Amino acid sequence: MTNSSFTKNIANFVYEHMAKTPGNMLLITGTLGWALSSFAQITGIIGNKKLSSDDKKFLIPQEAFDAAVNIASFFLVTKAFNRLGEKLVDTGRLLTPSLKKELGEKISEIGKKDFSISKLDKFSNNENKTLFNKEASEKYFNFYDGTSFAFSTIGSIISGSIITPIFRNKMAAKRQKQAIAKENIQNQNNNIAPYKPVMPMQNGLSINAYQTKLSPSSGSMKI
Amino acid sequence: MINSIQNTPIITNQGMVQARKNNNNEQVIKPAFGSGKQVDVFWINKLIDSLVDKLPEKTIKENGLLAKAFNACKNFTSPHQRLILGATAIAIQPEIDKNNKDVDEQTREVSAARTAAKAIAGTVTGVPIRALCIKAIEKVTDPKGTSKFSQSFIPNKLAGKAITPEAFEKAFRLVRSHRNSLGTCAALVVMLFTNFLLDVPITKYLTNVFVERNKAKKQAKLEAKGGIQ
Repeated sequence: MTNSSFTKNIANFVYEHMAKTPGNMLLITGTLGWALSSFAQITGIIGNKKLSSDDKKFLIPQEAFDAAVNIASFFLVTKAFNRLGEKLVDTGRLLTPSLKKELGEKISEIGKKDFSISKLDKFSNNENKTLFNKEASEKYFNFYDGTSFAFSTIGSIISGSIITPIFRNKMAAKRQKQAIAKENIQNQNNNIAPYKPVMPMQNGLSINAYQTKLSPSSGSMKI
Repeated sequence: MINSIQNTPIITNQGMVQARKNNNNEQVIKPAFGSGKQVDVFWINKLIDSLVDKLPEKTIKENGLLAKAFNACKNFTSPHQRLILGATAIAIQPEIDKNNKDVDEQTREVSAARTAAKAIAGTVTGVPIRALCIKAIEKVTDPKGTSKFSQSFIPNKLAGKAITPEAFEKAFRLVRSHRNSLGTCAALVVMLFTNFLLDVPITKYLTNVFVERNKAKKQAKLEAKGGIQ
């Protein structure tokens, strides 16, 4: 296979399976990207000798849940914001005065079911070339693409920097407690003194009180 | 737009379409590939569509902040977005970790340090990688380019005698979608290496630096108070 055949095969594959369905492309590449990044970071945590075992019990599940929650919230939140921005513009619900003027008589159709500015002859260069207006089309799609980008970025910030950290912290904390409790049980079975994590006394908890709270049967632990 | 040659693909800015005759010998236009039906990959799209249907119209000022922001964003690409997301991650995520009351104080501090380190490492590597991938893809999908690699990643259906450079430009949205997809795939392949070679070592180094700095600050505070814990 020549180099040019190889590159053409890749180009054709990407065009057929990704370019025409960007949603599928994002699904595959987004999931792979986050999973790969998370796997790499976990190997880094395991190899970092300066982190304590206690810290690693939290950081490793935190990283794993970070990828999982990121992927889920991307498709629930980021895509939702992206779609919201696109639909607001495409249905004419969010426009500038000059774009509304470009709609002409079609302005009365805003709010009607299945009305889509992108499909109008003036903007879409489809069957009726006589109605297509290149300047209006560019102006409209510039606004559409910019709004889509802005909404998708806002969605990404909410999902990646707010929702994901909150949820992955909760899940990872639960895993940490389970791991510590399991270690205590194993130590007891081996007749080793129970694990006592270092706790600052100024929080007002004695070691005994803390150990009581550490048992798996306790409710959410607030330290 | 009805092409005299049956089934010859025609480029529009919606994609490629064909002019063909149906069973009644009438000319019809249909998309060249697939059924043309928009497949709804995400159920949430239906939810958003029904929400939008209930919303009123809103006209924003022509030279207002919102209109300027939206129009400016049209020039933004993946590296810009990565930079914005990286900056907000550095500002917000460590604070969330510092206020995580489900773990002890030491774990909170280490977690916040690592989150900040990871956000910095990810941004420092992610932005240039994306920018370079986009530049590279533009170079290898350029129908007007003169080097032997200029058209190497243009798919067959967007290349050849049927498609002139002008027609290629006209299909700008489909071409952009193809370039974005190629760029994303290229960035993913590059990240296979940079995650392990750059991201992880930088994150590890910065985490240790931040943890040591926090310890030193705490120690200094305790010494200043003259107290013993």
